[in-house]
Order: sequence, then structure tokens, then C-alpha cells
Amino acid sequence: MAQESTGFYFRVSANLLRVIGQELVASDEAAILELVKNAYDSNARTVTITIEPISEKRVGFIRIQDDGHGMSRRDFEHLFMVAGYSERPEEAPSAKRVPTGEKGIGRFAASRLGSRLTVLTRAAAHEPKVLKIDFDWKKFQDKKKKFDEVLIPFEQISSNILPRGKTGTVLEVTGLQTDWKPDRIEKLRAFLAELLDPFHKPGDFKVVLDVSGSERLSGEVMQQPPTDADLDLEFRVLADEKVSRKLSADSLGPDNQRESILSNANTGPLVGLSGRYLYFLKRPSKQKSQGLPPSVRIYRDGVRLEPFGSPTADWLGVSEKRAKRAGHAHVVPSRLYGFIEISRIKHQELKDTTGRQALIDNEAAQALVTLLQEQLGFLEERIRTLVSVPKWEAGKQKKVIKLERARLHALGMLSAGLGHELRQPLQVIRTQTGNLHDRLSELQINDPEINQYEAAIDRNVQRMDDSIGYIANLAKGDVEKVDSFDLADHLREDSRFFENECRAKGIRLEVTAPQNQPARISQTGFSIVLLNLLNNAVDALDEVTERNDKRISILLSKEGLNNLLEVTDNGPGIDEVTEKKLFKEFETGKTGGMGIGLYTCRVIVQAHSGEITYKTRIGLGTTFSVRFPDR
Amino acid sequence: MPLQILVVDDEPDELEAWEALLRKKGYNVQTASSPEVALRKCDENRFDLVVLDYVIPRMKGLELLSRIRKKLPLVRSILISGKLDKKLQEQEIRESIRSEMEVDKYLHKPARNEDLLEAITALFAENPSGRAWDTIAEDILKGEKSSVKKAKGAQRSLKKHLKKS
Repeated sequence: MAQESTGFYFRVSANLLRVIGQELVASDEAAILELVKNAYDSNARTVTITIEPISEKRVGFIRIQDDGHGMSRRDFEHLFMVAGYSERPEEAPSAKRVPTGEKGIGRFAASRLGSRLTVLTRAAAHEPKVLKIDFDWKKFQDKKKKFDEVLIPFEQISSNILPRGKTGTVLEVTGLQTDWKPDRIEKLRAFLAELLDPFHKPGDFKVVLDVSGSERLSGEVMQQPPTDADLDLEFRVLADEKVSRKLSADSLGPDNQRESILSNANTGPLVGLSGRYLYFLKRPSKQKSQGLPPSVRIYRDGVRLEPFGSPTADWLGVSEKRAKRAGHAHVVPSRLYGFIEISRIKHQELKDTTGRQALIDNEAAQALVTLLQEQLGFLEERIRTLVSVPKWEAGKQKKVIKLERARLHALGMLSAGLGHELRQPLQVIRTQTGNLHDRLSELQINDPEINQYEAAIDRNVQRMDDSIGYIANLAKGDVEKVDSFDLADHLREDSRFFENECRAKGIRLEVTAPQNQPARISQTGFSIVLLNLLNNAVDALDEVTERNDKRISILLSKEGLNNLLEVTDNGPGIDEVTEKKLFKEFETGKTGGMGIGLYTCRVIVQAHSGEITYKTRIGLGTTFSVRFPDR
Repeated sequence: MPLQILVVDDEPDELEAWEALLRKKGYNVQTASSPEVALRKCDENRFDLVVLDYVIPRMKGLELLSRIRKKLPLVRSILISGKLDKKLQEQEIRESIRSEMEVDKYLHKPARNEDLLEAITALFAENPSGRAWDTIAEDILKGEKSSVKKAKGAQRSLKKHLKKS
């Protein structure tokens, strides 16, 4: 031997074919999709998939025929027959299309469909004969054989399957592995449809399914766009590199105007790009989604680029964001459908790779991701404002109401005992004071001062009794129950319980309410809200030491169907830090505060379809406004 | 002869306060701090009126009243309760209680002395003699069914008394 070996070479067992065909290609549908993508890459305008299922009379076959550029004997040998080879755009004979098949394994996908593959191809239209290649995959089952030791025979034949004067390729799979029943073909159709842009189907490419004996299953494959989305955001990059967008939503009303905004992304390479996000507030039914799995997909000239939008690709970081901001992110991936349209002519900077990633990670691709994330952020913002009570919040609300009910129940149990427990000593005080009076009379003492003291005792016994009654009443109530009552009367009665505290703290309590205001709301709910707001106002004024005109005003009025309650204090106002966590559970700015007051208020008010808002000015005070709609 | 009144309450201070009040007003007062004591006293005395608390340990005021009524069918009653909601009108309470047992008068606790005194006066005003028997006799003449029932009970208890004496 002249030369000494200085290294090793991989030699591949023929068995690798099985590995590629069976394990790299996930399913039979995916295998057919790979072959369709190959056809697309060969500039085909029409791909026809003919399926003849196995039956008693027929052996069954799958034929994938395209009118692409076909393959010459040389192409075949140097391209098709080299495993893992995939044409790069610049290598394609006429780079009109960017290849969709990236892995260079599509041809092996055929091996999982059936035991034999016959290829008929013609690359030169004038050539009368076609190249016929026969693959007998069974020959690759011999593990001892090397990949390159299996001979694939070819011949030039005359065939009328490929029409004369036309280029193209026919792949015919026989010895089918799968029983192609109608529901399986239905699934295949859905799978193939996903390749096509539902809004702008490609003008120069179509996929036709031809199932012998079934008109229903035969015909052009098309993807219908999802319907009845709750939010529909369209956007496109204008020539001036600005982004124009328009949001439509049923609940939005006249708000759906087109607007033009500047993106943070360098949108230069993206001019002409258009996109559409469809969002459902609930997971859409199959009917609404048209069988399309949720995802954001990119289509180049109407044909989908993978892996964008595949179940494993979270390329916009939606799931990641959701995981990071558990309970606060509003875009749920399973309800989002995105259709991004790019063009091979306008967006040449969005280049494909031959690897797993379909776009080379360059500036243009990054700009695309930034732009799409921005629009997603906008959508999320609108979802947040549109859906005042997101689902997670509603669940939490239910919990709080339950909690509130449990609290009231506990208070109810307590106050039943409390009534007895406190009223008994009150009874003794009252009776004995009366007895004292009688005794003094007996002793012929009639002193106005003593009479005054007696009156004061009686007044305060009454006050305590009223308070007990108030608590018992509150405890008996249900925050969800709707009552018919005079709100003005009720408000006056409720605020009475603050009169003494306010007087003691030098606060003037003003109640302005109409003579009568009949309402149909939760009486208990209203009382709890008022109690909390008054408590907060008193606490806020407690912080102020230098002021001697402390004031709380309660204003009740009617605003359409709403009962409007406003509680204003001239306290220190709410600072920015506190403002941020104002309505949050267990957040408090007060020493000894529990931080559930305002949260509970909001939950109760929202549960009755009302709203609670506030205005605050540092050093001047705060007004809380509660709108409680009549039921 | 002054009215004989039994006051039942488990709270000694309260009992003492009521006793002082009623005695001063010239009533013949006895007290009981438990249902057992109350029932025993009813065997020994013919009370015209029983004043009881709604909540008494081991027995509800109303249950005690019904037991007392078995012994003293003609006894009048005043129930004082701090448990019921003050906002409920007396009429409503009387109606809800009526289904269980007829109470002559309901008072919200803490009651003022004059409230109790007025209630007593009102109960016995119709028959200056203060004897419930007369009122019932009148009712029977008017044909009130409940009175007939009461009268039958009264008859039974009278017979018992007569046997004893």
C-alpha cells in the first residue's frame, strides 16, 4: 500500500434509512408534506396527490405528481442521491423560490409510506423519454450492507404519466404501510392545508388531492382562516417604515380606527410586510378555528415557513412571558393565531437557512421578531383594557367572594353570641341606672346634674346596642344577594357609626344624599364598601397632624342606572408607591393594616358589575368613587 | 293582693337588677337563675307573670315557658331577648314566636325600666284584678279557640291544686 491511513471515515449502514424514515419523520402525513415541499422547491405550480387506498381489487398507491423543473440524470445523481443534501437558494437552478424543505431528507420520507418508490422525472421539456428510478426499500433492511452498497436501478422509458413536452416529477409509492381510510385522508388534508396562507393563498402554487372513489375528499387543498375572533389586529409596514395597524373587536365599538405608529424595530427591511393576529377570549371551537392549531405562522408568498408556528416553537416568547408573569400575562398562546406574510422579492434580507431555523438570525429577522412582539404587546394591552375582568381575575374574585361570605358567616356566628353577651351587661347598666334614679327619688334627691349623667349613660347604652345591631345585620347579609332598599336612608344610618369616631378625632363628617334613593343592590356589599372607604379616609386623616379642618364628605347620587357614592377626604393623598399596590391583596401602607380593604371593595363592586375609581392629589386629599349599578 | 312575678335569668346581676326594680314597684317577686329552679318554683307558687330571658342555659326561654304553662296554664309572659335583631318589628317577632308558643309581650334587650313596667301594666290593665282567669273567661265568651284550649288546661291545673289543698 502506497499511502498510510491517517484517520477514519464514517461508513453508513443501509439501516440508517429506517432511522430517517421512521424516526425523523413524525408521521405519514408529515412524510407526504415533505414530498410536497420538495415539489414546491422544484418550482411546481401544481402538486397532485393521488391516493388509491388498498382494497380487495387494488394494491393501492400514493402518487405525488408535480409540474416543477424535474431532474436530469445528473441532478438525480448529484442532488437526489446525496443524503442530507438540500439545495441552497443560490444553487437552485432558478432561484424563484426559497426551498421549504431544509433537511434534505424528504426523499427518505417516502420510505415510511410504502416499501417501494418509483420516481419518474423529466427535466428537459423536449426530451421524449422520462427517467425512471426504482427504490426497493426492503433492500436497505440488511444491517450488514452499507448505505452506498444498495444499487438503485434507473432506466429511460416512455411514459404517458408525465405529459409530453412538460417537465416535472412523479413519485409513486406502492406497498403501502398505512390503510388510508377516509378519516386519515381528512387528517392529511388538514395537515397539507396548514402549509397554505389562509388569507392570501399562493397564486402560483396549489395542492390537489385526488382520492379515487371519493369526491368529498378530492379537490384543491385550502386553509380557511379562523372565524369570529374576539380581537382582530391587522398591521403592515408602510413605505415610510412606519407601522399601520387597525384593531377590530366586537366590544370595541367606534374605537377601531387605523393608526400609524413608529416601531422600535428597524423596519427598513420589512417594508411591505403584513400581519394579522386573531385572538379568542376563550379557546375557540374547531368550527371557529377551522381545524387550525393556534400559533403565529410566517408565510412567504403564501406558503408557510417552518418551524414558525410549530407546536414546539415559541419564537415570540409568548409562553415564556406567560410563565414568567404567571397570572399577569393576558395573551394565552392557545387562543392566539398569527399570520405573517412576507415576500421573497420584497424581503430578501429575511434569508432562509438550511438548518432547523428557517430564518438566518440576522438584523432583519431580529427586527421582525421585535415588530411582532410589539404588536403582540399592543394586543395584550387592549385585551387587558377590553376584558376588565380577565379569567384569572374572575376566578380570584370568586375566591374572594367566597372568603368574604365565610368571613361574614363567622362574624354571624360571633355576633349571635355577641348580642347576648354584650346586651346582658347593657341590660344591667340600664336597669340599675333606672333603679338608681328611683332610689334617689326615694331619698328626695332630684339633681339636674345627676339626671344629665343618667341621660348620658342611657344614650351610650343605646349607642352600643345600635352598634351590636349593625354588626349583627352586616353579618347576616350576603355580599352577593341583591336587596331592594332606600340607599339614602341606609347610607345615613351606616355613616352614623362613624360620627362619634370622627368627632373624637376632630374630623367633620358630611353626608350629602337625596331624601330617598331606592336601590336594588347588595345592601351588605354596599355597607362593606362604605365601611372600608370611611375607615381608610379616617386613617388617612389620622396621618395629618397640622390640619385643623379635617373633613370627610360622603356624596350619594344617581348617575344613569348607577348609584354613585363618593367618599372624599382632605388627607395627604396617595403617593405613587402606594398607588401601585392600592387594590392589591395583602398590600398595605398602614401600620397594622391587613391590606384587604380596597381589594375586597373592588371585588365586591366588580362582582356587581360596578366599578371603583379614585382621584388623588398629594397634600390635598383623595376621592374614591364607587359606581354600583341597579339590578 | 299584688301580682306574683317570676323572673328567670341566668345572669345574677341582671336578676338582681330586675328584682330590685319590680319589688320597689310593689310586685311580689321571685327569681330563678336556672330552668330547674324556675320549674320548681312554679310547683310551689301560682305566678301571674313570668319574665324570662330568651337564652337560658340548657333550655330555650320558649321551651321553659311551655313547661311552665303546663304547670300554670294561665300565666302571662314577657320575653326579653338580646339575640333577635332589633330591627325586626315586634309584630314580626310575635308572629314567628307564636308558631312555637304564645308570648304575651316581647321586649328588646337592653330594655328600659319603664318599658317593662308599661308592659306589665298593659298586660293586666284589662282586668284590674290582675287575674288572667278573667281574661280567658272573656275570650271564651268571644269564642276564641286558643282560649278554650287554655281553659281546659287551666281546669286541669285547678283540679290538681284543689286536690293538693
